[in-house]
Amino acid sequence: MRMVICVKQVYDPKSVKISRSREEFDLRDAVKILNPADKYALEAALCLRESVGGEVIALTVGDAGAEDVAREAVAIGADRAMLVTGSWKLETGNWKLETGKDVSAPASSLRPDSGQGFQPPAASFQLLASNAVTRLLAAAIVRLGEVDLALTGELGATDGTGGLAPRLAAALGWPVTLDAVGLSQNEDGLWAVVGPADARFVPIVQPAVVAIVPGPERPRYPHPRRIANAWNEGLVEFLTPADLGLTPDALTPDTEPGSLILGPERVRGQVVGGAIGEAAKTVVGMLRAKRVI
Amino acid sequence: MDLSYLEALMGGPVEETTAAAGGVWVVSPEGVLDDGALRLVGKARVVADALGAYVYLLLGGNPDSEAAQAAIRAGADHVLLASGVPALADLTNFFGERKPQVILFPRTRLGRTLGPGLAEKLGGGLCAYAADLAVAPIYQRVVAHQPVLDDAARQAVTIVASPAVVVMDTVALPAAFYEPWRTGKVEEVGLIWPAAVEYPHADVPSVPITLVNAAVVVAAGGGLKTAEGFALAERLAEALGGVVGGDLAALDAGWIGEEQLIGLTGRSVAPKLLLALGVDGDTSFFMATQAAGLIVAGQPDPKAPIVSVADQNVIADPTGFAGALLAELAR
Repeated sequence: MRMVICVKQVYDPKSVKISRSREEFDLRDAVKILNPADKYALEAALCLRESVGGEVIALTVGDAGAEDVAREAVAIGADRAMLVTGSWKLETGNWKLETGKDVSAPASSLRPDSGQGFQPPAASFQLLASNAVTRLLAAAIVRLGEVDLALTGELGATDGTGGLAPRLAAALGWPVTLDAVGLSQNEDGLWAVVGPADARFVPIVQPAVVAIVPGPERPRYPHPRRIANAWNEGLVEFLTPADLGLTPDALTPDTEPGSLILGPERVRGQVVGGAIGEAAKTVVGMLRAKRVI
Repeated sequence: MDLSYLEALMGGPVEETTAAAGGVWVVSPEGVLDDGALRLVGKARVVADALGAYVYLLLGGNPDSEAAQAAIRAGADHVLLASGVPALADLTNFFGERKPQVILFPRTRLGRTLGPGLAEKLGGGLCAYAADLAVAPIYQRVVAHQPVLDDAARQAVTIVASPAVVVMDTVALPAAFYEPWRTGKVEEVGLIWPAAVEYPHADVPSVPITLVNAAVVVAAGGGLKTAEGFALAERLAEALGGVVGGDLAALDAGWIGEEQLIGLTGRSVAPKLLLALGVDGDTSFFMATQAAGLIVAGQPDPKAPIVSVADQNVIADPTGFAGALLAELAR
């Protein structure tokens, strides 16, 4: 079975601060990591490969720094990885991926990120609009050919919406299953366990897209030997949108990120007045309004 | 179509135009018209008023006409009833001819599946997770407010492609309208989609909730005084779907084990809600709870260290406060 795992490089949410005065993200000390939800998707694929055999390919779209997550996926257990990358240009508030190999963006529109790539505007985590990412991933999967399953993590850690899997499935013309906590194969075929609440076995008609949510199976850690070998040549294939036959028009963003909307600043030490019953009512109302309970 | 509402809003006669014919659509594919779906209809009403459009509601799942009337009272101009649950191809065909301006889905599993797929098929713009909606005043574009960083902030996302497809989390939307004077049209569209399929049940081992991964932690302190007071904290944790921990005083009293101790010598916690009952708060406790999202404390002493650290304080006997909270949650 040939499985493609769509992985993404995200900022570690714990390392991102919000500048209230500038109303934007403070990304100066932010660290980029492999999206934690994608590790669960990778784990589901590796478990399936262990039971039925096959090939696991990690696929990512990003700037040059995204090579790290492609290598990390290989270190964890993927057979190989593909990185769709290119030059980045800021255009009408959105970062646009140049599709040609030799196109370089004007220096004034780029902000260097340790010489590795370029950071998005600090009001947004988004490098590319979701429709462009979908098309790049779909084109890469079509280019691979003979793919049985495409797996994604359910949500991106910082600004995830959960829209990738169904959108990718629509672009590929494949069925999609969301909220799968695991995959299992028996004599009747491939099944996704959809849950975790009121879990059900849902049959998967291949080829299909499956979005994996964190379940009881914990993602594995990479073996030190695999970490060292992940940097061997040939394990990561670099592609540009031009290699995938995509023109700039196909990557026109369908959305434009705008400003940040911040709630009221946290104020500690407030006292809820009134009798106990009244105070309890106020507290429960506030917790419900803040969607904490 | 009843134009009285739009005419009242615009202060003069209004004619239905071709541009407005696309309208703002709410799709409830399962036919569920609960409070969340009615809130979504209300939000669609607000967006449609800003765009000068009508609100259409497509209800799948064999709904009755009473549900349609409830939707009209909540702001819908036109309710379309269909049978069964639509697949993506069905919805693509349905909307292909109608050229909607905006399509809203509730954030159910089916809504999350169909919304993004429909955006891709129709070539529209997508926000697959929005907590609120607005309309940009000049270009009349839909602006979705997308939660980021676990809802610590929201990102304004302007949808430039048409139709704008938005999957909405209805929890934070304002209460649904209830306007009995509204009139609207109810129509059976004659579409018969397949019924929802029931799949076999699966046993999934649940992930144990511990102090480290719990969304709600109730921290018990010496101020609870008795084992009965601590039992209230346990009941409160159960009612909130969280776990109970405690400070050194609770450990010394024998109410909690060492694995439940919150502090530098125990566990550090980062729940969305930390409810501290009878906890004075020492440095060790503060260091272990500094990543907590919201801290609510029940404490009789207004000069206790925790009062200045907690977001909300109830200066009262923690046992009585816990009982009042349980009674309020049971309502």
